[in-house]
Amino acid sequence: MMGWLKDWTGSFSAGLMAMAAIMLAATLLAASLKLLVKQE
Amino acid sequence: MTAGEAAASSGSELTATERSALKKAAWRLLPLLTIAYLFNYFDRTVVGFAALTMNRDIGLTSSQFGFGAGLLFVTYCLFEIPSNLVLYRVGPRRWLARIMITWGIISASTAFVVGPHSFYAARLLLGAAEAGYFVGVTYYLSAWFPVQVRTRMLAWFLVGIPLSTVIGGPLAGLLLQLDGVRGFAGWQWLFLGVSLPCVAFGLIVYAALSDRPRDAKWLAPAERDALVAMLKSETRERQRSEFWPAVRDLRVLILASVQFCFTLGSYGIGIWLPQIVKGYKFSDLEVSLIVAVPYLFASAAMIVWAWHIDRTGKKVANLAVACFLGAVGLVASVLLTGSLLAALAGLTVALVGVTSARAIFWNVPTRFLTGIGAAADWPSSTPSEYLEASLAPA
Repeated sequence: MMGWLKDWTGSFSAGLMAMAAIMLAATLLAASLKLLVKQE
Repeated sequence: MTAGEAAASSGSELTATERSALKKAAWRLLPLLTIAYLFNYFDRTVVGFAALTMNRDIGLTSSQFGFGAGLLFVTYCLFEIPSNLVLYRVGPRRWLARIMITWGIISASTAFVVGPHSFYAARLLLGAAEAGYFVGVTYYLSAWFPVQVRTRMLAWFLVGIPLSTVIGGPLAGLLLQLDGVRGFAGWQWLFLGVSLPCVAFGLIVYAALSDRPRDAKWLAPAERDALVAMLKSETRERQRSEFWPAVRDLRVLILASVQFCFTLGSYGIGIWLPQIVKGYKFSDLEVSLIVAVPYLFASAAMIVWAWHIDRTGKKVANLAVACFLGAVGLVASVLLTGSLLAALAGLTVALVGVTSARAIFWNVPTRFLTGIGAAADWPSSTPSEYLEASLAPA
């Protein structure tokens, strides 16, 4: 939570993009979970 | 449909006594716990509204504010498991009341911070005080509601999250207008106004709720027996789960990471949105009204989406889609910063994604934790859920 907030001082764009990247990571993780569950 | 009706309409196999017992219990427990959760959630994010004027008054830089806002989650995570262990020991009624009263007092005391260090201290203490409420309530609900109505009960409880900003945003705007009254700044009134009700809720919980159906004097003896019997037949079927094997399971770890990510996204937007909107030169009251709009959409979308998933059942795929929506919305809001409406539309899409992800998420473990032999029919009645809840406060 903290690392990316520090970049925030200049503009909100950097922080928003960082959060977008995190949500993309969540998407990929959830998609990989889908594959794992299928294997069972 | 109300929570009481949801409990009552849970199937024709229930007897009239069972139905009326469930209905009474739903009305007794859920409104109070949901409203308290609404305030709980808002006490964490209200700092984003307070920041509109507080940061200047006490001389916080943006990174000091962000750091302090985030500190809450450090103690929240540290105290989550200890708090749950105490809850088992002293009973949910006393412990939930304790949590509400202390968080109300500490959140109110945030009104008296004077600089970065006292702000950090207030946030650390708040995290410690709030730890365990969410998981405590899910445990509490599982002690009251048999499995066939539990998911619906949880959904009503979870609506408190997006609703907290729909209601809390304008409330925050109004409290900020008290600026100067009795010598307090608007942001000081704000902290006092949204925190002190929690102390009252805590006292009501202590007086009005009961730990177990067995102790409930507000149920007729026949209803009490019916509820106890329903729950008893079910606990016997439940297996004990092992903590470490569950932790090592790759799927649990992935799921915990996913939750960590979307929780971060949800708080990130929640805490910063007021200041982002403020950047478009609005008054504080206007900001608070504008911020409520995306959350109104998110609340509606969350309920519709959860209903859709109940019918189609593809939870993991939908979880991925919700997270992706969050990412797309955030990117769009950055690309479209030129226009408020377009940027806000992007953030609305992102909020729909992150809040729906949460609603979907709490239904996922149910299915596959059974697969690994965990107790499984209910999120957070299993130790592996504590891990998840601790990694990212719900």
